[in-house]
Amino acid sequence: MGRALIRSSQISRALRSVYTRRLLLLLVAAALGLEIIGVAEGFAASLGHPVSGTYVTIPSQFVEVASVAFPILPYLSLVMLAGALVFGVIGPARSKSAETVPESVQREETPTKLREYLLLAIAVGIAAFLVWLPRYLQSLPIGGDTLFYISVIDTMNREGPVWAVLYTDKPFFYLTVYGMQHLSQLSTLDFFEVLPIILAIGTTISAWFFVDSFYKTAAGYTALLTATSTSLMRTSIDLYASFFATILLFLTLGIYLRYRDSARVRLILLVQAMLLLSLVSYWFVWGLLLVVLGVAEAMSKDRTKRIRSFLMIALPSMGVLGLFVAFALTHPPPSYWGLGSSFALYLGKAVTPAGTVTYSSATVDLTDLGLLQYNPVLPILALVGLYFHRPKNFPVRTLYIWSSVMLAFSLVSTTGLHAALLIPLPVLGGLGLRRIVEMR
Amino acid sequence: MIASRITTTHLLALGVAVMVIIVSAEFSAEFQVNFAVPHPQPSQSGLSELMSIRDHFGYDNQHIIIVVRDPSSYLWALAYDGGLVYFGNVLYLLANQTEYSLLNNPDPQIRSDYIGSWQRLWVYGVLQRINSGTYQIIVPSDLYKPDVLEMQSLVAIGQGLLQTRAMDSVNISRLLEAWNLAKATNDFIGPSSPYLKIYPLADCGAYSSWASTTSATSVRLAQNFTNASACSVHITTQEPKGATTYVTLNGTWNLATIAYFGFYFKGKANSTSLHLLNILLSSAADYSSYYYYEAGDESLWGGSVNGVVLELSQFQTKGFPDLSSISSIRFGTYSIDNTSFDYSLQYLMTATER
Repeated sequence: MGRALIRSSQISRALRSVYTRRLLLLLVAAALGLEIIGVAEGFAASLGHPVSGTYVTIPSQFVEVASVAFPILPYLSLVMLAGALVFGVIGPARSKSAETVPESVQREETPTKLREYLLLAIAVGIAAFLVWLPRYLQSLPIGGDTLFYISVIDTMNREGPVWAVLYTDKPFFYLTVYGMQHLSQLSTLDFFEVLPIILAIGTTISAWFFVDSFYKTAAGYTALLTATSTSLMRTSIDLYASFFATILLFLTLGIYLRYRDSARVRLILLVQAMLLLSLVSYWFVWGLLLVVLGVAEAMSKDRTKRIRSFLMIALPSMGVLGLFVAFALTHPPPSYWGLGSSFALYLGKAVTPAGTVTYSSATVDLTDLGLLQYNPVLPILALVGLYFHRPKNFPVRTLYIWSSVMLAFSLVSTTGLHAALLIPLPVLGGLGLRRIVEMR
Repeated sequence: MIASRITTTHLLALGVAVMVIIVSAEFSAEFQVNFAVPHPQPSQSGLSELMSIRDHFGYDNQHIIIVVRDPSSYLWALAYDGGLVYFGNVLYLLANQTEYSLLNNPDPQIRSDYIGSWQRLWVYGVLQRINSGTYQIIVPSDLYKPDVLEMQSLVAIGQGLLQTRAMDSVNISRLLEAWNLAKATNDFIGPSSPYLKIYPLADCGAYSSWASTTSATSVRLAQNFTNASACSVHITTQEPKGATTYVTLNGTWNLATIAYFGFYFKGKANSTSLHLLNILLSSAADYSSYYYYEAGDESLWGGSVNGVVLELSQFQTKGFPDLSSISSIRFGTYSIDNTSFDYSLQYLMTATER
């Protein structure tokens, strides 16, 4: 009798683990299939080509019902992501097999390079297409800030490139854009049609480069999810400086992880240079890099040695910032109004002819989390990624700290939009999607 | 070897992964089509004014300052004309004074545009030489929509463009003071009276002739609510969704040489949706030809007294109306929802420049 019970229990467990999993996957596939057709129908209708037929309304109705949940999705995502991050840190340890990301650069699982490059190429193609699409549909420049960027580049064309160093807090970004425009020989207006596509490709490749440094088989999925993420879409509208800084962020992290695996002088110099470029492109992202890497190193086993090495790497960019601030103190506006003097702008202070003006105080604001509702796929996959990857090693620890910092900052009014766009959802989603594909 | 590793579950998982990417791409495409759109553009005539500036003065002319006062116009002016674009009030610019209502505005876009435009003028040393004659200050009229007091500092130069006139600092300060008073009291009639010749359109005897066009609207002669005249007219109306109801005053008026049309207004509307006050000046008894103005200013309906002065050139036309033989004036209310309006009108007047 006892033996029979054990036997039936084993069969039941086996059925549950295989059939339930298959059933679950089938249900998800059916829901996704309806969603794909329904969204495509809606999309065709919005472009003036409505689809008609006997059963064609079923997917659209499914999409309509599903979208009822969208407005609460940002808040739900916030709670679930925060919960997953806390659970990842203090939750019960999973079996070793679940910890697929090793401490250093992954060597044991080597995918065919062809497959990875193919996924990357598809991702690049999707990113370029999605960013090109609205520019094909519209005749005027897209987004409000595009008009501002156009005026800045035109000012540099008149005043010379040094103007960006003297009067903007993102000199390297503007110099790069200015240089690219000159190389392209396009008018400023035409160039700003092409620039977001270049930046979208850059962001997709750099996200791939970052994940490739610690989890090669998830890099392609990350690239695909980056290419289709709301972050990339929103940034591509008119947040070109954030776009550019995101590329630097991914590249810097990728190089840093490679340096951590093999501390060659070339890599040390490269990380130092990237931190410096991040500072003079978008100091908010530079600050984020220092916090994320610094805290992740502080949680390492050999923390004293690691932090010392990290400080050596961060020191040049910190020194340069000190020089900028010193220059700003000795050359107050209007003779200099660049990185050093506008450093406090994000803190709600601006130097004006009427003196220093504090015009803003930080408040808790959930508005920017609204970005999460436009693509529910990413927060869900990010949860899967967080569930299966605990912060036991440096790369995942980096992701946990990065997510926590940005999640917190995305609730603060003054930093909300930048932070909400910088939550590493496509990276976590890539890890989650890799985990789903690994199912046997 | 490979075949043995592929299971049904794995195939299903791969299928789900592919579908996830497709769904994600679809959401993104939808996002792009819905949200990746041009910044709200000014009216066609506003864009034409910006193009006129570029054609006439050249792109990025460092000797002109273009004045606008809404974020959309600011960005489009920067892109279309380049150079020096001031975001704010033209009188503050002329007086070289800080406009604290913009500097400390709760809207971050307004703060940032004001500081950004100011920064550029400061960096180029413009603020110190604003009245030196070095700079031509251009105001695109359709984009800026100057009020009666701002108009006292401006002169038309054609193609919808206005230019600041030469004024000494005392007159600029006086004008700015009057403008600030008008803004603080919502009364543009009183503060602008030193600059205008005012002609009342009707006396209290004529006010009893106000009539409504529908039975749902009641109109009656009432006590004055300002000291400008001895009586007012009080209107209450229950407006059905999407309809416009009018009250009419018939008479004979020659407005051919008139620059402004004004009145005192006090009203309330129990609606949170869009509602408008429409003003019609007709030269045809059947309203086949008329001038009209749609006042969408929400602050009109706050219950306090407003002294409104409108530039006649800002009225739009229907048919071929003739300003020299206006025979009927209508005030109408419109709302996209069922709304009850309760408002009073007093001291209908016209005015010319002194």
